[in-house]
Amino acid sequence: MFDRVLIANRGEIAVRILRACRTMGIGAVVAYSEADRDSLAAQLADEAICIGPADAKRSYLSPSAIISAAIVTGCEAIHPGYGFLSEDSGFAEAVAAHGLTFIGPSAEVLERFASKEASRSLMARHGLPTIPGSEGMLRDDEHALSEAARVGYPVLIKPSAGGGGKGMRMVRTPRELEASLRVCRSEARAAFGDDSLYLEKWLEDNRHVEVQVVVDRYGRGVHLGERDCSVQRRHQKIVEEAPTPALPPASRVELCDRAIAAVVAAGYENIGTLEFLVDRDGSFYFIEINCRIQVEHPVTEMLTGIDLVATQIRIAAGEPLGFGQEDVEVRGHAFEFRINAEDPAHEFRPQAGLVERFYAPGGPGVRMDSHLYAGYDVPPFYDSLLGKLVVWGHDRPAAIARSKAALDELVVDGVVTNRSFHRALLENAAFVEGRVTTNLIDRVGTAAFLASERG
Amino acid sequence: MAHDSGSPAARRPQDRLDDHAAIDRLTDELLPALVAKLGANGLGELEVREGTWRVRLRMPADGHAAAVRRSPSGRQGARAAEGSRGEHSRTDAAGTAGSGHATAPSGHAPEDATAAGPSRVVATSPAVGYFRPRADLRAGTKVRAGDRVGSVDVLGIGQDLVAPGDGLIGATLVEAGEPVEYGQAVIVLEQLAEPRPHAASATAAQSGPAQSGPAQSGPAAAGPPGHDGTPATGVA
Repeated sequence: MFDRVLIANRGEIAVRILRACRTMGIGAVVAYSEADRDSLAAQLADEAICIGPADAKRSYLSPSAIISAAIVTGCEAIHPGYGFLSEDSGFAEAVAAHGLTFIGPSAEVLERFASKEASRSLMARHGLPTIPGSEGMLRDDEHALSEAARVGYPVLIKPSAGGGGKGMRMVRTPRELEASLRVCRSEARAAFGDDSLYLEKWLEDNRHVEVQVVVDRYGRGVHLGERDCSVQRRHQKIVEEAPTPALPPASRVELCDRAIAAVVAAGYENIGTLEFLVDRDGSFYFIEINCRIQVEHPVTEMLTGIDLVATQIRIAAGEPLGFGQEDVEVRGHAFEFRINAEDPAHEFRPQAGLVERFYAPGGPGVRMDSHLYAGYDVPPFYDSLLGKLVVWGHDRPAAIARSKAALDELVVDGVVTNRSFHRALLENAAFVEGRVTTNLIDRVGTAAFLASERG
Repeated sequence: MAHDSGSPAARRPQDRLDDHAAIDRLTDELLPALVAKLGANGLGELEVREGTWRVRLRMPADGHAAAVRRSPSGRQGARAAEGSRGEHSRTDAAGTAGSGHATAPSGHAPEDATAAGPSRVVATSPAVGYFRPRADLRAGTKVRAGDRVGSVDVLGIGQDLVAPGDGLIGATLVEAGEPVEYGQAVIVLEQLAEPRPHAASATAAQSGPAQSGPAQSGPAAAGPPGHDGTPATGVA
């Protein structure tokens, strides 16, 4: 096992990784940008090192700054968290070339699954159903138009790299497609440095269901059940839950079993998430694999009792998994509410500024993963995630009841958050009945959605 | 501010009480008065001794109280304390933390060291890596703004450490081959006597060789008492 790990990320996930290191007896060094000098992770760390200015390109996205920081602080491994360089095979390769361990899949595995389009055909070869889409990347507008015509409208334009809804757009006509391609390309280029796009058939009323997998270096893998991430706004997940209300138990088992079998056969390694779209009939289609720890991983931790970050670190250190599918027990129901610094009353505009008061909710089954503290100045340079409220109950109604109480307890003064959105969502009939689909909130409009369907 | 009566462990309880009383008097009465005086008369730097204590105030070139930033966090305070225990050469040269005290008023040692006074600027590290000095530079060597005064080795590639202004090489705050983080103060440059034109101080330039803003003021650094003068702590 490693003695010392460099945490090359910020916000709540840096704190989460630090906690995993602590429980494992690993020294934690936090790499921070000038804007994060006062961050909770930097304060809690055994050592903190400034790697660059606020501009992520010169700090959290700079492989040389991060690797150099790991070397000068005597770390043996680098945990990339999520976002930033977490799925960058070039970075993973450079880390290995300097004799350090990248905590995640190897560069070779990342490379194989990096392109969403390539991993879609790879997983199709290993028996997973996939959504009809373009053959390869879109070469130009003409190619895009002909592929869209072949697949059939509506289609979803997707960037090959990255996530988080950047560079993604659903279009219903050739005219919309032509108009959107340029925007998507520039968004993708700005966000991921890669503007390759592809098309996917858009399924109306689809749900987003993903399977958490864990595979050690020796080809032994288990799944840890699925999560439903259908509550989205502009392709951004807001609330996640498990088990999914979209599928009956037998289908959930089938989905998870097929996912783990395919991913092990395809040579995956470390923790990962296979994303699927589930249509109205309950058919599922593989869309991509996320080769990193995910924001919503605590939902699975609440259900299984397995520390996913610790597991990730152990696998990267070369340890065998140590447990089998029969040892994994999924209990109860859990929700995760992403507490974002954004104003629901004003188009979810991102907020920044000084947190005057912060009280995390508590009680049985309630977990708050956050980097907030009273006096913390939320910098404007990065994403708006302030924390994640994760709530467990023995069943879905129990988890909803606890979630309401927990959201009512949460206090963040000084910075506007989307708490009121979550609170209203918990009263919404479509949500309470488990009927939310990925495009529902955007189609109806946030305000109308929350007002119209009070349960 | 700091104390020079040996290690903290050796001090008697009465010494501690005296220290606390002295610190209180300094912060509550002396400092505000000194700050006002510094602001009013356009001096660049002011030093006052009382008993075994010494306080030095320095007006930054741009008239802002550069070193009296909010102490960023407990961690920074802890780091300053560590620095004063483990890295005497660096923190002493920086003129911030003294002999074992964690009570440096403004916390972050490297920032205090960088307090760009009227008579000095500081070259800071452009990256995380290992510091490599320029072999041909000695204390007192004259350099111009933009000159390379050293480099930082980042994974085998040198990144230039650049002089932010004209001046004479002063204290080097980091040993050759030691790791540096981004933005860390590395080399102090003592600026030449004649003031360079500066927007914030143009109106005050005539009041003396030391530049200062007319209204804004603040203590810029408090030095350790009884310490051998190094280029970094020298009074202008």
